[in-house]
Amino acid sequence: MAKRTSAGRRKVALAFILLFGPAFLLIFFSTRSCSHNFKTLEDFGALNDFEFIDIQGKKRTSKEFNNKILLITVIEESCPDSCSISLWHLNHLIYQNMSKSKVQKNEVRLITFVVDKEGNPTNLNKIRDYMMDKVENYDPKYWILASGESKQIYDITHNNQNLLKDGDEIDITHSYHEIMLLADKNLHLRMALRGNEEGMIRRMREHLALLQKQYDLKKK
Amino acid sequence: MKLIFSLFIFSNFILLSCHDSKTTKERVLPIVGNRDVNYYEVDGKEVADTVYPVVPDFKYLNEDSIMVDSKNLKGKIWIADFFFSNCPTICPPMTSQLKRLNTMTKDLSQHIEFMSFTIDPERDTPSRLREYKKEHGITAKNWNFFTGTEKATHALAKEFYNGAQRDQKADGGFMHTDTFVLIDKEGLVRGLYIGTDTKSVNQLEKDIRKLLEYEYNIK
Repeated sequence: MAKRTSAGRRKVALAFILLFGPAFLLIFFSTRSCSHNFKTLEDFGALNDFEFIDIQGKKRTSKEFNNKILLITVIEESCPDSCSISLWHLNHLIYQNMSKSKVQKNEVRLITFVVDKEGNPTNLNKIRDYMMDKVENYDPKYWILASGESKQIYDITHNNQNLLKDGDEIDITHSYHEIMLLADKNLHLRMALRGNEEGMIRRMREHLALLQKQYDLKKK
Repeated sequence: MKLIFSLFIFSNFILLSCHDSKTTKERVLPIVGNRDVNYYEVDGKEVADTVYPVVPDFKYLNEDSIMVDSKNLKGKIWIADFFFSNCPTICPPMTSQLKRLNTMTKDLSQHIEFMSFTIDPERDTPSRLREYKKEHGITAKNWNFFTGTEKATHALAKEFYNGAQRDQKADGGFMHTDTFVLIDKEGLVRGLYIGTDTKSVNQLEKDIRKLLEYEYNIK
């Protein structure tokens, strides 16, 4: 009888170790030497001040976006190939996540400048109707369509390279149209990536998450 | 028994009445092209509807001198490129990438049509295209090499988001792009890929499978 009891105890102890052992180990390591090392995005300096007109015809300025993470893109209204691809992936990879996340809705704004072939501001009516028709849960409060001088924002120089310049020639018509900019809550540029490929937009989503993580860690 | 039967009929009725009769296809890939917005009235309210351009119909001779009408290729998705057989630079890698893609998608060959349009029809006669196919060891039955008129083909290239033109300075006498085009069964362009880049062609294979599986229920 006594033998049976000790065997039973051993079994219970073994089951306990198997069940809770891994969790205890994880807690042990995480409270001692392990810490999360998230990559900190480089700071490329302050963005230029900018202003634009939104789809309600209201004048907006960069100052009102202080304390918001900004993802800035430029879409050429009559660009059939890369812009269609870019809009699609921006919607599916970034905006749809944003529209379902309270935190992102509170912290992030997507601003898309709509320009003509020469890079000049253009009327927003058609693109607004397209977004209303094709973008699920489109809310202009979070994905802001902008009519304004996008060149003012993209005139950034870092390591002797300017986003508006293509080699020695200044190419203000096309070189920057596909570039997405990620700015932090102090309107400092933290990442610039080409936005005409799914892979690049995925990478931008990861960088956006890293930037948000940085702010989360600061809160703690 | 009667009670069970009536419950069965009633539950089916409920299910059917809940079913949304609007069958909008869930798109899984972008639609390339200059969209337009049409406006019409529904119950006194203005509604916007986005429309996209489709690739134009065409008739071309293939490498077996058979006149192929694009209407007869409908019901499949298309992969298209523009090349010429005397091109010494980007065309050989483009053709080998397309051949690789053709092999990778062999299991779906009845749902995919490959088409290579020559931009130099003067030299690329059907017999020359047949030779070119042989040189590259291409035996696939779902791959047509098309030859037509130069002007029309260069114009068609534009409709497929490619560029093609005569250029005496260019190797082989023609300048053209290396874009592979993915076209769905409705004639909408669903993706553009770099035909000389293995990564991009791998992405095309993934997108073909995604398109067929989710939009046409073909695995």
